[in-house]
Amino acid sequence: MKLLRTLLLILIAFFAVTSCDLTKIEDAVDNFSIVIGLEPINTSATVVITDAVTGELVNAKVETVFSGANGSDVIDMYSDPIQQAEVDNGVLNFGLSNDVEADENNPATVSLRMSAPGYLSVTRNVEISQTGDNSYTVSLVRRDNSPAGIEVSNGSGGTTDVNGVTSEDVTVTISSTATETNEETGASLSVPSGSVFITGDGTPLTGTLRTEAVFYNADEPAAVSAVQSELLANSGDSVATMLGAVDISIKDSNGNEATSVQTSGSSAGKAVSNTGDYIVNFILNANTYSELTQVLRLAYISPTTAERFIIYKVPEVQQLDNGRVELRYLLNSSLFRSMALVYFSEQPCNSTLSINRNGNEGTFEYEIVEKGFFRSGNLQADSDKIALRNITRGTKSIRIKLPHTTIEQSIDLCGTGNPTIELPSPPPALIDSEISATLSCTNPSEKVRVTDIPAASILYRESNHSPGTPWRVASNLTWNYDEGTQALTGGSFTATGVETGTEYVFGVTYDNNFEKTTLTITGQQTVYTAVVDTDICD
Amino acid sequence: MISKTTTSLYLLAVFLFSSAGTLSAQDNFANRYALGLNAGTTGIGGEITTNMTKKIAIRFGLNTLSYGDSGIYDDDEPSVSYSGDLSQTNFSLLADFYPKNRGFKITAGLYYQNFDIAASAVPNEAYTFNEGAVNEKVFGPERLGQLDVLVTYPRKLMPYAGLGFGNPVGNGSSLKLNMSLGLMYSGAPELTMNGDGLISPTTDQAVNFQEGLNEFEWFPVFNLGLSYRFIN
Repeated sequence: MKLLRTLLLILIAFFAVTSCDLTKIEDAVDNFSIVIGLEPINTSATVVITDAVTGELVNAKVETVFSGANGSDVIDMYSDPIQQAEVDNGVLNFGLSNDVEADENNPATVSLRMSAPGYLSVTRNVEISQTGDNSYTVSLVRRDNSPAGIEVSNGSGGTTDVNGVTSEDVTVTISSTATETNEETGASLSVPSGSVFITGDGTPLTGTLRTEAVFYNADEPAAVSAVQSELLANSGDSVATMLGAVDISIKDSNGNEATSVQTSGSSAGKAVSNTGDYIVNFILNANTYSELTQVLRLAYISPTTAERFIIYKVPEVQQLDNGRVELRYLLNSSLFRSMALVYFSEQPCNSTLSINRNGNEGTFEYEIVEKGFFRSGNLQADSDKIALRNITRGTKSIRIKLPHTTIEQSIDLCGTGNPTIELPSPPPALIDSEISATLSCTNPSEKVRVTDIPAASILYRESNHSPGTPWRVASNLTWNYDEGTQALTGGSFTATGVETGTEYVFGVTYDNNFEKTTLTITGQQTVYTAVVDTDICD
Repeated sequence: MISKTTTSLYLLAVFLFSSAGTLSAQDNFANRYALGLNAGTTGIGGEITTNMTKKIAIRFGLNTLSYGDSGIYDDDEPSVSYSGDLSQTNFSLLADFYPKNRGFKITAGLYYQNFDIAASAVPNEAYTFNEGAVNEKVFGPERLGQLDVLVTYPRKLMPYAGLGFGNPVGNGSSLKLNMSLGLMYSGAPELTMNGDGLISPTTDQAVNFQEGLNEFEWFPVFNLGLSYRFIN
């Protein structure tokens, strides 16, 4: 018995000494999760894609192709280089490689070619002039609901025989009347019967042909802004101003689109001397023509190479009624995707527009408008200057969209020493609120297992908004990653120009995600919990 | 507290070894030797035992153990291929004190032990973010990366104290069954976790595991063995 008692004592002592606290190691095992670490992105861009008429986000699938000087530096939130991106919620987020250091003196330029079903394709150049997030707005024009100054016309192009030879003249005519001046401008295309439309790979279009024409009126800012930006690109140091632009597309029932044409005979009663020629007409104000006769040029974009070409041909001129003239250009076999009647200003200037914010914080969209000339961009949140390059001479109308109003001022940017716009003080009710969010997953036992959400942004607008109220981009977005719990626990940002006691819709956007929540502003500090349902929860 | 315990173990070992010499000089008896094989938490190995007095024997042992395992963990996405190797080698110099001249013994001594566990985990398949969405993103295993874990004891020399039964050089049968039960003071094992690729921040969780491992300062020893006395 004594031996047994001794043995028991020994065993108890053994287990007493070795009985460690297993709780911590069990917790470590139970809580172990794979954490995804994404490389921080120093410079990012948020592109808000809106419908040009309604102002609402475009919820169609928008495909964006990146090009331009820094097109190859575009990366996604995972820091992978991308040449294109698709979004279906109206917000495009992308980053720039950390190798690129953009600033006001050396901005990065990315060209965005956007296309979406039911909308006209558009190309926009965005200039990224600071690290951090930069925001932009691109308006897309819906084919069946276009803004003033953009006319869209669909019509028949007749039929062809089995070899693609047209049985009748193909004529596409389109025009637009300016809202204020009531002046009519327009363009037309005439291709004689007996022609063959050919695709880029040499296939003739056969059967029933359909045409689509879009005309852009130079008097309407929305129209000038919608013109393909490469069409109005600078020529050397000269800046293009347009007097009218047209897109024309000819397709057969199989969806084949013509890029060139072989012609013969005559067109609409007008002699076409050379095989392969066709006619493009532009109609404009006779006075405008007489002022610019010597400098008028035809610019077009090749449908096959997407290059811009300038034609120096002298057109045939025909006087029309109501003080208008028709300029007739005889062109060769290559068709065009977009064409514009332009003139080049040879002495543009660079100008820095100073903005006296007067307490207006945040990012504001601006537009600089003159007939045939349009620039837009965002005054970024931490800047009070807009650097403008290659501005044509003459007085411009400058619009700045504040949360509570839009101000408009006329300034000769090239002729004024230090052009400055004084913003009105914001209404006393509007404040800037620092908003802190705590992130949690739908499943309370899960956590957001990433270290960061690079290139993300926060959009917001009033819950009780009128249709077309623009989304604003919040500034100073930072994420909080807690190494202790190995989870993204929250973030903070600044919402400018908001009203205490008012409910707003906030949405975090990243990689085509747009997760919205409503929140009532409680003051200069607002706190809320965001429940996220995403596969980064684990 | 720990340093006191460690010091006590050292002192006990020193006492037993020094007593062995003293008692050996007092007693007059023939030296016996035994060879033994054993297996237990210190691995598999052998030892040689000799008696210093009627009540004290000295053992020198060498044990080793290596074990590897690998497989696929597929309860989560992405599934993970893992492999791990345990490697253990130790030398021991122990003094057994037989207070009743029977099989029961009190043991103290030192172990010199190399012990480590190395493991690695690699995603076994691609992982898809935003699956089914417009901007679905697929990462291959190479991009996801790898995790490597190493658990080892910084302390190599470990004092030991324990109890047991069986005297390899005792009277009676030459073949003896021996059992040892005791503790090595090993200090807490150290864990290092390294990673690369997208999952490299996962290594931040090494802190949690280390906190858990800090509780394991004592290495349990339980060995069973057979010995044969070959010189009487």
